[in-house]
Amino acid sequence: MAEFLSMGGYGSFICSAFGLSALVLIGILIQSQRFLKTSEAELNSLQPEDTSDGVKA
Amino acid sequence: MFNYFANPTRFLRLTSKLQPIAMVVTLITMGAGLYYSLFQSPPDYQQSETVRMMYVHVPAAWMAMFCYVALAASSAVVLIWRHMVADIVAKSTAPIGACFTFLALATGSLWGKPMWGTWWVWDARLTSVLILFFLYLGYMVLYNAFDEPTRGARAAAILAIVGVINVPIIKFSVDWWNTLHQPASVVKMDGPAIHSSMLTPLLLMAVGYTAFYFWVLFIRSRAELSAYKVRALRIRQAEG
Repeated sequence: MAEFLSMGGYGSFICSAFGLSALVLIGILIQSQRFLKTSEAELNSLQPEDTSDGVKA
Repeated sequence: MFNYFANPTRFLRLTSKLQPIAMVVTLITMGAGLYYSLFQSPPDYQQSETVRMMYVHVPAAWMAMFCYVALAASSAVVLIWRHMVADIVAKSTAPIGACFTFLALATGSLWGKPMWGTWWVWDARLTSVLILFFLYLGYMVLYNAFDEPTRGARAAAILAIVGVINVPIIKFSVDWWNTLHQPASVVKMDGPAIHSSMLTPLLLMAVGYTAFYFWVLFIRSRAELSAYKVRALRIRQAEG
């Protein structure tokens, strides 16, 4: 395990690259889902009779 | 077909249906891509284990350019036909593209330090990608800089279209100028120059990153559409 993590002495660079990528991608995903939740909640509060996805057909 | 999906209701239905598909494709391809990247692909004969950073760096760089082309194309539709759906796609694409560009720069820097001996050089490839990042930031700032959203949308769309000239500059910078960055090794006229053991994880991650873009794009588009309707309802209420 220690050998795998050291990755020939470059483990810190490789783990940072993969970790940062995961952090940024998961970050924008969570922020986008929160944005969707708040904007749909706001729309539903303004037109409570609409039970669809927030758009009238 | 274009006009068919320019209808916000149809677009919303389509994105709601496609969103779970994009999510599943992202999870499967990224999961497999990560497994192959970290456990199955061999170390490079010159760059040893550091080559594994290619599997997150290159797809991020490809997506940085792909998203910008999508941003510029939707912006052109905004300016020419004034379609609301194109405006929503452009506005939703910008932050995702900015994240990919940031990752291309950051992971490139992390790869550059052990291989080139420096975090950063002001060469053509790196500088043009940095300009791409600023174009994304500029688009988002300009979009929100006006009290009237339509004026912001048009100003930002013009910036996005003008900035698209940077995309071929990024692509060909490694051929046109002397640079530390290596030339293209996958998208080449005579086929990829890397072995299938490295090409497999790279392509899996590339498909994963592309599916991720669409997954987040669909979420953000639905959110922007709701926000647009909230603004319209507020204006209607204010006008009595």
